[in-house]
Amino acid sequence: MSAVTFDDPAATSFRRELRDWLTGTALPGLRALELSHGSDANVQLGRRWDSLLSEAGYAGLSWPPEYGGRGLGVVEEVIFYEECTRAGAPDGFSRFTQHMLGNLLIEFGTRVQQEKYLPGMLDGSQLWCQGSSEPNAGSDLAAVVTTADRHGDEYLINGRKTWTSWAHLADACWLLAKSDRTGRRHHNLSLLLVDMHQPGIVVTPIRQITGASGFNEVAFTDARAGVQDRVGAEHEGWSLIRWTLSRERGVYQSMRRYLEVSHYLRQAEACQREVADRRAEVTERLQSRLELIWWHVVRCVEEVTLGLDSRAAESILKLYWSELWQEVAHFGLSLRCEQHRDFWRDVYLYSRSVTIWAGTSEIQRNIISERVLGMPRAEAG
Amino acid sequence: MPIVATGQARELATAFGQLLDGQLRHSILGDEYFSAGHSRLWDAIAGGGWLDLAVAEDDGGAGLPVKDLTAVAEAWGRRIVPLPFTCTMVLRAIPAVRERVAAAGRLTLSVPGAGGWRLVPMYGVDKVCHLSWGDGPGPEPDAVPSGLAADLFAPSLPIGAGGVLQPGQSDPAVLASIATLWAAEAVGAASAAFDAAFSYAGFRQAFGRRIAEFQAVKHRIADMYKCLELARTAVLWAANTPDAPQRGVRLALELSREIIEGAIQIEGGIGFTWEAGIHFYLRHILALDRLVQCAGPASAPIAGS
Repeated sequence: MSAVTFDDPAATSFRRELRDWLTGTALPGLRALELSHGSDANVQLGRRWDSLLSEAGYAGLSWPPEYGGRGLGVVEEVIFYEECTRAGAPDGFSRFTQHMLGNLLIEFGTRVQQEKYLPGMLDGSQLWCQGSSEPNAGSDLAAVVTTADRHGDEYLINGRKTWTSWAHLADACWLLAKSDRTGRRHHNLSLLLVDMHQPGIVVTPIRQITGASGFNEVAFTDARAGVQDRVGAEHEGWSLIRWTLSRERGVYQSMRRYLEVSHYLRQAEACQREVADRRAEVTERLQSRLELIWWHVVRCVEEVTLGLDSRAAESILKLYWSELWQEVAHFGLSLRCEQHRDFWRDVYLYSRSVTIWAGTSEIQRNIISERVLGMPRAEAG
Repeated sequence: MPIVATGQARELATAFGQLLDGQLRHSILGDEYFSAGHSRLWDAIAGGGWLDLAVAEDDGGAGLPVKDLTAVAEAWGRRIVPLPFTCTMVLRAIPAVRERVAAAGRLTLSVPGAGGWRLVPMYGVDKVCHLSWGDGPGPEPDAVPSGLAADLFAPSLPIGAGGVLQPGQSDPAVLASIATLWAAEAVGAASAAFDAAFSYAGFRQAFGRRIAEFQAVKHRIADMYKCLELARTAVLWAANTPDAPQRGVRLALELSREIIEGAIQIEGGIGFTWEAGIHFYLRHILALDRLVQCAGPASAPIAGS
């Protein structure tokens, strides 16, 4: 029975069990929060973590037992992330694959696919990458142009994928490709499970602004995948990808990120204590931002009087002061001063109107982008 | 007295930009910076008299005040060239230093940092001037410590602790000018990143149209533009309050950073790649921010006047 709420006895006992394991044998030498994303050390750490989780029975927490999972639920998955992040554990690779591709195969895969791929996902021995984005299909993912042409029992794959995390380490790839060159949008793509260890696949790491390379460009030239490695119906891969992507943005991720960012904020607070009192800092920052209005007005006026074109500089004023007004009102409210509670309430309430009247902030941004910068006009209607 | 730069200073800045673009035919990633082009560019700058813009007219310079120099510094910052133009320009205008370093060529200065460290901005320098003039003659400008330039385009070199800067000997007026010009450089770098993102939005296609047509993209660019105009004003604020330039300087750097963050967002995954190069602008600004902090009143020992 999996837990329904976070204070269920089942949830509490899972948390205790996990915490004991984490503080016991699991964690020494595995703290990862200090490492930069994508470093080699992080990769080794992640793989070690994957196999440790598998050995200790923490892999596939929410997979059904018949697939090697523990049959637990969302609550336990979230608790897992929460406890691990608090403890400073690394992220690993397998859990992401288990959540996205694993669940997909359990739901839509064939028996053969399940038997072939799920065990390697569970113990971390097989590393997967996700072949979705392309140079001209990012946010607009359905616009992928990598082709998978059917030749008998095989697909021949040609094209380029990009931003492919971990492709340089991966054993296999779940790939979205165009299997019907003439079919209509959203019904022309298939989802294929592709062996990365074959000729015809070239992986080129992309260097990030951090200097590390976590993601790659992957070129396919007549790479092959069998028909038996297609998930779901032919040309209907889009709905499957949508299904997996909805899991990428789920609660597990959010819990992990929440704690990660909390870690940063705690650090920021510690740093800030060394510099100055936090509130004094906010006030000082807001004061500078406010005083900038004065200087900007003077500058605009002088530009007019000196015969220069001040329209561009002037165009930003309303947007700037109105949003700053709201920021100050928020700050005042957040101080929760007993003596000035009514004052701040009134200031705050009124401030909600200042980004609406005299041209809303949205209209101000339209004016700046369209009239001042000459960007394309918004469509009518 | 207007707070804005004179029309003549703006024209100078434009001409300076043209000179730089003529010399820097290749992208910021080209070999130009790291080879002979380095010296060729410097010779062109020195030969054109650009190093003496701040030097008093009586001493043969152009005698421009800081607010006019900011226009030139912004033009310099747009190209994020790893050469110590700004420092050299300011140092040459100080009579006591000028005599000692006139022949030295490329100059930079050490500024105070936490824990006894000194930050030396920029590469390709011939001499490091320590901020230690005042009553006495101060130490001679040093040769540059070797083996320090690890991160190109991040214009600072940390050097080890030493009794380089004595409390009570640094010159707040020089720190104010240099911090203001560094802020102007940051705005220049931000404006280049803004232009790159703006033109990217004009040709990058998604959902069958240019992303510049999407309101979400336009509004982000509008916000970046707002920051750009305000950052320029913040530099003018700093230039016009030489006794207390820190607030304008800090704002200019903050706003410049916001602009570059927007540029990375607009260019999406491409913007996050090393090769696209937006991070060079960002790193430049982060380094300038660090230098400005170190040159600020909180950490700089200031003459006990």
